[in-house]
Amino acid sequence: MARHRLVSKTKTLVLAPVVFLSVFFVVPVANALLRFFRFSAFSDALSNQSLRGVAWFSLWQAIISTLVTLAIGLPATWALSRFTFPGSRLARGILTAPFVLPAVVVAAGVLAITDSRGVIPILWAHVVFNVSVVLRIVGPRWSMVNLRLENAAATLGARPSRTFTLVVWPQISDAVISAATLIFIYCFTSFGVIAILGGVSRRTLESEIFTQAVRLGNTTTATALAVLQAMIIGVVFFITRRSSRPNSTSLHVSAPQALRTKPSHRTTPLIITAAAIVIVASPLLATIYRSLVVNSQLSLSAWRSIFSGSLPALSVSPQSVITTSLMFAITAACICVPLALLVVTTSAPRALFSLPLAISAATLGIGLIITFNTSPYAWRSERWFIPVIHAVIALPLVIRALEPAASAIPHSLRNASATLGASPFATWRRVELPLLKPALLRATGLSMAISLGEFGATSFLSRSGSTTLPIAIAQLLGRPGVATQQAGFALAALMVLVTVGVMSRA
Amino acid sequence: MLKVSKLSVVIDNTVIVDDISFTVSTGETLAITGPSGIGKTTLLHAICGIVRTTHGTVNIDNVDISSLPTHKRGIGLVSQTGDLFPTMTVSQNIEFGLRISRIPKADRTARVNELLQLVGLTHLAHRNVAELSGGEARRIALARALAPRPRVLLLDEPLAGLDQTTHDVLISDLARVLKQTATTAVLVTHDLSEADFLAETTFALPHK
Repeated sequence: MARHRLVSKTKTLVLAPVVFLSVFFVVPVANALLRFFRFSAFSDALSNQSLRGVAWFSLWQAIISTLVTLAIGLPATWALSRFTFPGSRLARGILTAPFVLPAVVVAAGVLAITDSRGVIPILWAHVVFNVSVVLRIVGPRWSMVNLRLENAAATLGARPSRTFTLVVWPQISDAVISAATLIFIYCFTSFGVIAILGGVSRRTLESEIFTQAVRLGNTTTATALAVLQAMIIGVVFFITRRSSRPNSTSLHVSAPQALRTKPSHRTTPLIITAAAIVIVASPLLATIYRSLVVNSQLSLSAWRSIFSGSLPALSVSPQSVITTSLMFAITAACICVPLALLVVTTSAPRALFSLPLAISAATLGIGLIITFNTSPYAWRSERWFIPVIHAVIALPLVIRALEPAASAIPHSLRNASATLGASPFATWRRVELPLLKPALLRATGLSMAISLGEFGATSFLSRSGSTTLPIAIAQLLGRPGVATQQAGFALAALMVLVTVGVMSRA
Repeated sequence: MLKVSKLSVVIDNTVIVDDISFTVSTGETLAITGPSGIGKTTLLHAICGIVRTTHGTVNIDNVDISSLPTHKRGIGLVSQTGDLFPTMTVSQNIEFGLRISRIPKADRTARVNELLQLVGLTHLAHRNVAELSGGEARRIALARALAPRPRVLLLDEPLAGLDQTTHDVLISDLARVLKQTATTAVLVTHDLSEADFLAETTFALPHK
């Protein structure tokens, strides 16, 4: 039986998210490619030694970041999926939280510790972010691997390492490959981290697209680089999809397995988890420390300046930056969450709404600045335009956050409502909407967190009157001077506290 | 009077209900019996419009309602699981159909109290539905379906899965409620003794 949808009498409602995504995403990206992509520029970019170097750096740093993240994330995932110990819930919370933190904040945290820029700080920042991807994707699968199969292997004489490679790995490999693919793409298209930690010598394709399009005004080269980036992402998707085809062994999963709690089992998982927490949480704590301490002296001057003073390095007051970011986050949530709700409760095509995940923020940025540049659509400098684009970027993730709750509503409840005289719209409003309320709150928190942290596309659109927190942090940390740097760390610390606050309430 | 004529349902090229016809007189109960998987529930869903019919018609009091959507047919349904709305209290569940019909608040309250009394659960009016026992949930589902005074009530195995004691109490109560409200009802069950106890007429669904 086809799933009931709100579609019957409300086709115009279904069209709203499709039109929104088409206008603010599909049209600008297609416009950029059609107007500015030239094969000659593409081959010029490939033959340019400097740009080849940028592409090569993007690739190898993403591969190393992925491998290091897996090396730290997989043992931690094993520890938290297989064992329970005092504080294990808190540990899981700490390790998964950075996923919604802005890239520039994580980068600021690493800078607060290392006080230097370059490859190692870049890799560290990527690890901080992406350990949560491993935990979120591999954790649920690993916790369902049937313990009886491992016991059977042991009774047949397999050492723990052989049991892992022959019994456990075939059951978790798809999830590990999925996580690795996502991590690679996040690191390959890294922009916020590179803006803070790349210095003058380390650039990714994503940051180079920004430089070419905005600083040098060379849209043709920027588009060629965007196509090159999309092609590499496409190849990675193709390779990983082929190698993660489900096989029969993947079906040996079962219900979540009981966690081991015996004291003798706890030591190794405890040490592994503690090490992961130090790597992930220390940069976040360091932002708070650096915002409070100057030359080994406790000082609240940075906090005072961001709440009541002004900073010469910023063209607007820090208070106005904070207000702007919060207004943008609220506006983006007001646009994004209702649209996501329409998508998950109607027959709107799902695949279309995954598109923003496959296209990098800088590619979207180029499309936006060239498409919305001429009257009557000269919206690129309008204040309202930034939260609209934040809503576009948050939409696929917010849909994914709402989808499980929407599909969990039993079909029989809708039938019961219909037999009591409720139209599809009345059923949606009175039965489905109340059931979705907790998920809607979480989705609102997620949307706000994404908007607060968005850096890539905002960099293309931000003007002095619409400077957001991540843009201000990048500007402050990019300038010399102890007071300026400390104010940057104070804004980063504020974002850590606000993001954690928003997400823990949602 | 409910009249079902030559009703067929085909889903994904499989015939689920094949050319079924029967009539239920006003105020009477018809029991439809047959083993599991024979299409009893699909037949009920086709009558109330949840499942689209391939052939045939459904008439109530000589009016063809086959083309109407479920919410305009005036047919109530009590399913095997009760399907109470989890975000509403017991009273709010019973009140749901009355609110949809825009019945004034005072009348709604009176009707909810009347039905709570009918099923003997006035003390549970403000209870969260998650706290109800299996038997209580079935009674509330029955009260909710009866509240908007449906022209026909469909009962899909309303006593399935209950322990013997609850089953015995509930079957007497169900018979009493159906008689007291003079509801035209179609009961689906695989239990022949249940059919004999509750219905004036029994219709055995033919094997496919």
